[in-house]
Amino acid sequence: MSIEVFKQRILPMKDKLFRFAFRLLQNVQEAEDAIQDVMAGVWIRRHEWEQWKNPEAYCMTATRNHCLDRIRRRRIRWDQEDKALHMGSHGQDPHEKMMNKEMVYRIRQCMAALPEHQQLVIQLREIEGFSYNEIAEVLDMTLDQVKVNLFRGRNAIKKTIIKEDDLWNKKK
Amino acid sequence: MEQEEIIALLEKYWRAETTLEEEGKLSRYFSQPDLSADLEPFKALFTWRKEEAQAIPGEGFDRRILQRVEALEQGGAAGR
Repeated sequence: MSIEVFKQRILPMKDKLFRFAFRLLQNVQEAEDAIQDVMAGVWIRRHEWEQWKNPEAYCMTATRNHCLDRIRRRRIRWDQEDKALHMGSHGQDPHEKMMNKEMVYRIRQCMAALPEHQQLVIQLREIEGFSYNEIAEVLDMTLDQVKVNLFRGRNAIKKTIIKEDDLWNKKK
Repeated sequence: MEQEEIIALLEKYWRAETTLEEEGKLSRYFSQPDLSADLEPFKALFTWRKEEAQAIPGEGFDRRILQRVEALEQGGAAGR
């Protein structure tokens, strides 16, 4: 398997894997280190690539296992400063309303406070657009567990939105 | 798309029963500027989804991965 195949098929997953690792590790530098380790592992196992049914799910699972291993080796550091990710600037609406911005901030806070399983399911569904089956595979859950976690996570977000909206309406 | 249809879809979304395609529909609907007052608060949910998907690793990340892999390639080739 050549480095060209790696560049075409594996490397493009880096952003997605990074976001997933960041969700687990809560630290930009460590998430980058983790993905380098995962990518190196994928390269070492390149003779197996043909057997992987879904390379993306494989890489996500490898990322999950690697990150959980890192977490086991240390207590999770809850550093809000690290939450300042490198956000791309394209696609932002300059006329975005103040309220929408505030609400997005509240949703982000709500998400960070969710139990880990809910966060991971939400991350894979809402942000990476995975199917229920793919999420079950990556997180080693049953389909029911995926749906229950998604249901709870979404409803926590819904509550946050409704509460924040009430606050805004009272301020008017 | 009719607003009623969107409200029904949103309810389905909260129940975690929507398909990816339906979630795409919601996302497209909520990206338009003028939403009704009862739907407006939920716009942020879809803004959040988009913004999160734009979070990317630091500059030169590709290069660092490739350097690592190429180093393995050279080491591995020698070992084989």
